[in-house]
Amino acid sequence: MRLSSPAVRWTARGVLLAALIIYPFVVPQPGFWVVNIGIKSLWLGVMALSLIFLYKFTGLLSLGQLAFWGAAGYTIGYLVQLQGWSFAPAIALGIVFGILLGALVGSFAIRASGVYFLMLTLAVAQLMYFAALQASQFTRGHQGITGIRPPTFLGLDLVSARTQYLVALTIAVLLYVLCRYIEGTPFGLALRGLRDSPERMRALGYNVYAYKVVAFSFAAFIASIGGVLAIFYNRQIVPDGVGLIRTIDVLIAAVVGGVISLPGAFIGAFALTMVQNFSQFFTSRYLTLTGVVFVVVVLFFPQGIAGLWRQFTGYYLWAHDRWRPATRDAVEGKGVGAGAAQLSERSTD
Amino acid sequence: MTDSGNGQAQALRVQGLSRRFGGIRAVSDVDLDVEHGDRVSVIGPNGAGKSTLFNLIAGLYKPTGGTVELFGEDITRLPSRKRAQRGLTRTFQTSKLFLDLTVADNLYLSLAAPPRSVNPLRSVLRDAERSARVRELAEQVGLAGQTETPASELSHGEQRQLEVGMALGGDPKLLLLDEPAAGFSPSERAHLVDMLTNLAPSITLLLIEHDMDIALVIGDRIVVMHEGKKLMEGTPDDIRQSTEVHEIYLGKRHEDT
Amino acid sequence: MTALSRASGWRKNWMLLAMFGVLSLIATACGVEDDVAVDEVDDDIVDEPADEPEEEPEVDEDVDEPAEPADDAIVIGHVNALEGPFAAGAEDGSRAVELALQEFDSEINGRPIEVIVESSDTTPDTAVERARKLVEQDGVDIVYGPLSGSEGVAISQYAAGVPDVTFVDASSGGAETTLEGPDNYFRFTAAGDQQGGNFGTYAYEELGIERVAIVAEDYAFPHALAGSFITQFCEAGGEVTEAFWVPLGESDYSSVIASMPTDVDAIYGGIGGSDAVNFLQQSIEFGLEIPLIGGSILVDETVLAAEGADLRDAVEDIVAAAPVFADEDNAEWVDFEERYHAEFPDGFETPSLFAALYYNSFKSLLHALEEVGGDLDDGHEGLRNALSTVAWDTPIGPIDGVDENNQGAVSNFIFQVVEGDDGELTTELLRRDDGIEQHPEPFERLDGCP
Repeated sequence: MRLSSPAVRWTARGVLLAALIIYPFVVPQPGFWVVNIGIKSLWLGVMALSLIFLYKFTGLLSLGQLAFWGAAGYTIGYLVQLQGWSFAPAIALGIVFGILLGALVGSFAIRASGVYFLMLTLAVAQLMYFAALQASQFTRGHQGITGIRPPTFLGLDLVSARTQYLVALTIAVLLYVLCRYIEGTPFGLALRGLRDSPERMRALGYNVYAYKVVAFSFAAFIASIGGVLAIFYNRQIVPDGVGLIRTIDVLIAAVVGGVISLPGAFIGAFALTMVQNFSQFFTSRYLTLTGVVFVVVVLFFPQGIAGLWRQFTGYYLWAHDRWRPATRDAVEGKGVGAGAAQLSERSTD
Repeated sequence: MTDSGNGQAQALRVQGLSRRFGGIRAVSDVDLDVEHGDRVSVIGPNGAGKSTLFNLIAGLYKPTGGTVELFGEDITRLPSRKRAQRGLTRTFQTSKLFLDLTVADNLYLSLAAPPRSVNPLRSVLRDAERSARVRELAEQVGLAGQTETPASELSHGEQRQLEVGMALGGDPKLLLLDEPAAGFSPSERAHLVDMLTNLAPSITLLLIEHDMDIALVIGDRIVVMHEGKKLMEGTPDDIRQSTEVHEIYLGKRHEDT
Repeated sequence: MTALSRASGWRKNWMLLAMFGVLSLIATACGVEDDVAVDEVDDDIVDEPADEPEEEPEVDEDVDEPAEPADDAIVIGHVNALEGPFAAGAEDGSRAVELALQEFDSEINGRPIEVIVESSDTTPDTAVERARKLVEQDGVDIVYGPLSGSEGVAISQYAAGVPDVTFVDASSGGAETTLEGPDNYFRFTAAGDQQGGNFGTYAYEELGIERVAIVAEDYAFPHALAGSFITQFCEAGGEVTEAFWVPLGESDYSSVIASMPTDVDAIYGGIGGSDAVNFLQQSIEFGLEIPLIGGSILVDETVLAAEGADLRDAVEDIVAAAPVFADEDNAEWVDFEERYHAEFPDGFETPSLFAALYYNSFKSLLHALEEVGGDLDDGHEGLRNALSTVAWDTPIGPIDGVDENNQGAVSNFIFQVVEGDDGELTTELLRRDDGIEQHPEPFERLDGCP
């Protein structure tokens, strides 16, 4: 049976999901493994998913996803903690606000591309940071909105680490499945199409701009949900939460995981969380360590962890072909570089 | 919608169309009338302005002067997507495909484009109607066996075939083909000619082609471009007999080979 | 476009990203100052060229051996901001921790003391993550730290959920940390308002200032610092004519200066040192020359390094208050400084603010542990009682127990910027006040006399 056959894949998915569900009940020190590693990986993974969704489907690499995270988080923090609302309407409004901000930012940012888009979205995140610092009647300024107690929803007490983990897992899985589903819809195809060739999309009659704005808003929606999960995790929202270091965290999680792979979002978030939690075995400078990891990944493993298998089978095939002169001509046509490049451009499963 | 297809207005009417790039007049004061169902080939040496003319008609470039009318409607100021929605589809001189997508998905996108109303969130797999049309199209352009192949893995010729397939997928009333046979093998050419000859008569065809065998066989009417201007227009026979065309175009071409 | 050329474009983008990542990481090391007082003695806390502390022989705190603590070890988890804008200060704090440990031979009553360091980056989210890791994963008995105010508030909120662990603050200054903090969180260093000492009273009674305007950064720490000043100053009989609250990191004070009343005796600056220099510079250019007085963050190395005759004149008169002062007449300080230099020849010229604060807080913890003979089996009850009554003479004044919020009283130093013998600007101690207690309510932003 081939490794990629559907039966094997579905079994693997089932086993993985089961393992993720059992996880909080079997780990030692659940206060650490469930919270610091589990929940953190999940919400950071959702943030990376938002970045990867946008990149994979539209080719736009955004550093601004935390702005929507912050928009949702601050809305919830403000309404619940400073205005005494209950969580349900605050969360709904927070997400709506995140999406609206996404649509607004998207409507101008997506006119830029490449590095300019990167810089623009970074500027948006920084703007959110300074807004959080200075609009102190809404954000409590530098101190942030603290002491937020996670609520009980439908009998689910989010103060409990396990419950919070399972809720976060459910939401993360749903978002992931939603992204995978979109991949196979006309909308998803159109996004991937405009990533490859916007001119062709226009020539076919598509409104490329509108599609991009919708895609950006959807990514903002994912990020807003990440903001909701994070506020339960952090129990506070502070300007530093949308600061430069966290912005880079999201980028690193996405890149380390594999920036064109949806599951890579969570793999990368998990990897980054592990590095940050266990870096003190090697160094007290964990930011520096993460930076090094990031650079190594970018330089040597551009497809991230999710792409390692493909990358190495690529090397294997290359070496294999190289040492078999009979097939060499066949390879020559495409060129090894081209083969590897295609690998690096393809999504992994 | 306009009165497209009712046979009253011309399919395409180009008047005084000009486009400058800096100091270069890429297209200069070109007039062109194309009737419904016409088969028009545009020929001319490299740099004659053929592709620019196409891009002006398709809306990729904005003209610096002149007008473009499609089925009687002035579309000079419309963006290319709105022209596409009015039945103008095209291929590109260098393939612009969705390289990461399969042949089937490439074709599907051409079928699902506005103004057709497609539920954007219903899985493609469940769209049986269009999936059938995708297979038809793939067959029509000779890619029946490769619907699940990513476009990036197609050979050059196959990519050109896919280009044509996508242009056809848009239900064209006016089809613009920009050197569809570039880089084709003889058998692929034959297949292309065959396909174009069998194109539904309702489709108006405007073709840029380097290959005279194709251009003169497919075209009922030939437009010769030279240095951004329309040099002459006539039947294939007129063109074959024109010494002028031989000098600037055919002759030059012989030197090349 | 061929796959190959796309690949090279791809690669190029990544190179760019990699560079961006590295640059950003560097940039974060020189970011905005947090709300920890930076007073005149710590010449080098923030703007220290990175190489000096980096090349330090590593401050050895058993960083690497959390896995196998001796069975009977007392395990202390240390959350320290070794990343981010205060990395150099945090590292100097670690030196002080090391000094304190040496005094106790790293053991209490035969029980070895293990310190596990977790670095944070001065952000509260990270600080809580690190504290939780120490508590849950490493199973520490005591959490020591953090450095900055917002980290402290966050960790004290976390501490409320883990009552079996005892927390001792390192140097953070947030008011709520202790005012709203749980019973297992102790602090021996100054909260924001304590850093102002009795300066409000002093300004009215000793400096003869009757009317002031306030210019201060608009966040919790200056709210407290300036708040304590305003309250005292008004109680003593002074008048606050106007308060200008500026955003953190403001560089353009023209609108503030333009609307500054001219009939005040002094301007109270609750702004960081480099901002103060900007403010003074722009005031002089505008023709407004009113003496500046201020809180603990006002006078730092950028102020002392002021150049230009006018600016120097303006700076030279500044009187300010701070919780730490390199008092060469104080035997405890001299002893501390000597041992610091002996142990860390590559350390700062003068032990930094953080070294002094960390030394105080950590040694208080060690004293309390000694008091109970290292016995934590009573659910930390003995330790907490001992912490509540710990008393010793520190290099920066006496510590004598804590108040009902577990906040210790501190000493405060009022000093003036003067020209030293070498012609450089330096500071001269005017007065030390001991037993400064925390204001029982957090200070809101005050716009005038209450």
